[in-house]
Amino acid sequence: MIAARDVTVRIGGAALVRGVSLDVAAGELVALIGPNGAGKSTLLAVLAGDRAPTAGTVTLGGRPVPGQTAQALAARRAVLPQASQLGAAFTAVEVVELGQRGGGDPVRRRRLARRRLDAVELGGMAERAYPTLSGGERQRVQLARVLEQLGDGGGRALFLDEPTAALDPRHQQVVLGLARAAARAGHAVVAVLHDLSLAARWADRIALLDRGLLVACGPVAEVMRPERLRSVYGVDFDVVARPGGGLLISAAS
Amino acid sequence: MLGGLALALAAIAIVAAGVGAVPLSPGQVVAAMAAPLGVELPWGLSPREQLIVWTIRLPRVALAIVVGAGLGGAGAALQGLVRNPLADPRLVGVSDGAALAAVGYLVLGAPLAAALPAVSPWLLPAAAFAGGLVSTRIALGLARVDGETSSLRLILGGVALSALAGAGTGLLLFVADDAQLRSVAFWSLGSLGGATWSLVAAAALPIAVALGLLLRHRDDLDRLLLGEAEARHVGVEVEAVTRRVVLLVALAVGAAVAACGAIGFVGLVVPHLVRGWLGPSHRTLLLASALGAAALLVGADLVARTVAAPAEVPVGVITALIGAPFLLARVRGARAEGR
Repeated sequence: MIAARDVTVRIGGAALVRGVSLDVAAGELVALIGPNGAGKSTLLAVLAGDRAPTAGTVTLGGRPVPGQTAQALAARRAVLPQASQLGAAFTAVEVVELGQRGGGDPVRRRRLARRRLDAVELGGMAERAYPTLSGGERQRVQLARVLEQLGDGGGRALFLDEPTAALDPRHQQVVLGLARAAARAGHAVVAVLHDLSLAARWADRIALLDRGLLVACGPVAEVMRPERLRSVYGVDFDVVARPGGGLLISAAS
Repeated sequence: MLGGLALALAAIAIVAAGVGAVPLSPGQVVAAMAAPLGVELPWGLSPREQLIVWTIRLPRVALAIVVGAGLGGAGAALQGLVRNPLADPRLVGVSDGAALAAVGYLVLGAPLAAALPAVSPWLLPAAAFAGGLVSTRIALGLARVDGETSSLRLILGGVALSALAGAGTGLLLFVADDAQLRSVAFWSLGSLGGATWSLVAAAALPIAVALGLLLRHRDDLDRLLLGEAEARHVGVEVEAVTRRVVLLVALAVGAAVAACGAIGFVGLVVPHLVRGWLGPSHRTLLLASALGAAALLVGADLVARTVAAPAEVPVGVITALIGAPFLLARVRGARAEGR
């Protein structure tokens, strides 16, 4: 679905991403992890078409991403940014409707948008003004908007840039659960994550970036090795197998 | 909602058309309007009163409606485009740029008009449009940092542009003759006193085109409120939409300025009130702002020509008296929000 080949991004003299090749298939959730400044958000921006690579190619469903119109890209992928600047007093359900493509019956559109708000556990907030919501609620409204753009049919790409940063632990699970559900519905999902345990719990594969290089990419247990994490993050990690599967990963002082 | 606003506009227009040196009841105004259609209404009026309504009162009210609608719709669209409720065409320098170009044409453009007699009636609106377009581009260019528009830079840029346009107008004063001097005062303060049906038509055509085309971008403007990057993500061709909206705003403001000079604050106050009342969606905002601003300008012009009758106060002075306190309240509110 998503294919990056030898992608390099240079801004000024600095190479933010260096020769990264990455494939994400429909149906899987790949977590992009790495320390601050590793190039995660830059790589995500290139995959999503926000930024053209200095060198290398990016394709989405076989078509090159750079040069596509905004409208063509919007039909193939959706993006949840780190923070939203929306200050207008739309209601929550109106924000979700901004993600809907094309026209159609307003009553039906409203019903679909409400259902999407139910999915992010904000069904009761549909008529609240967006600026009056808490940071975590806003983030979930934006996710509902993005999922509404993506649709349920599968075959598209979803990019999430630190989707859980403003969320409490329960809503982190809700949001990543929805991201994985989108993958299971047949979309290719890429999420930048900082919390390694969350990444290990929800991702099908992990892509580890360090100073612009993709240093590891594979199944969770293969990538999440204490010695590798230490060499990238510069701190010791405890990696503990959870009873019932999965890993608990925490930095050790 | 829009129906209610349209009714309110019609009511204030009919009342305004009755007020003047020869007072007429609203019924007489309606009767005068119905007469050419062959409809006899019970409110009688003399042929002279009929003439007053059709040649003096109605053109002026119609011009206020057209210009108000243009400024209100353009203001709402500009504010949506830059995601900033302070982007009034006058405040950010667009109207002054248009006015400078118009005055420049009036003072210096006689040889051009003589050389191109066929298009000379359109040269003045064209000059105002060009001036508006250039100053819109400069104002938005100055205010944008990393794809976002800062209030501070928008207002400072507006101050700079207005000062520059004022300096340009000042220079033109030196080369202008007496008649031109009077027209310079007219352009910088704004007046609907020159209203004729042909002027109404010359303003209505570009303003109707601009508002109609701006309406087609209502969903794009809604999505732009998400932020430029997010708007692009949901399929808005941000650069093309920006280019087109700027062009249409300059067209509407240029036509308004060419007809009656630079009138401020109409495009600031009304969209703000409408947003608080009907919400930020441009589906209703654009039309409601156009209707509301039309009603406001008809009312402001009524005050302008009656408050010191038989003398006239420039209508721009009245709108500034309404709008400036409003702007101060906005700035206070913005400070409370920490922006």
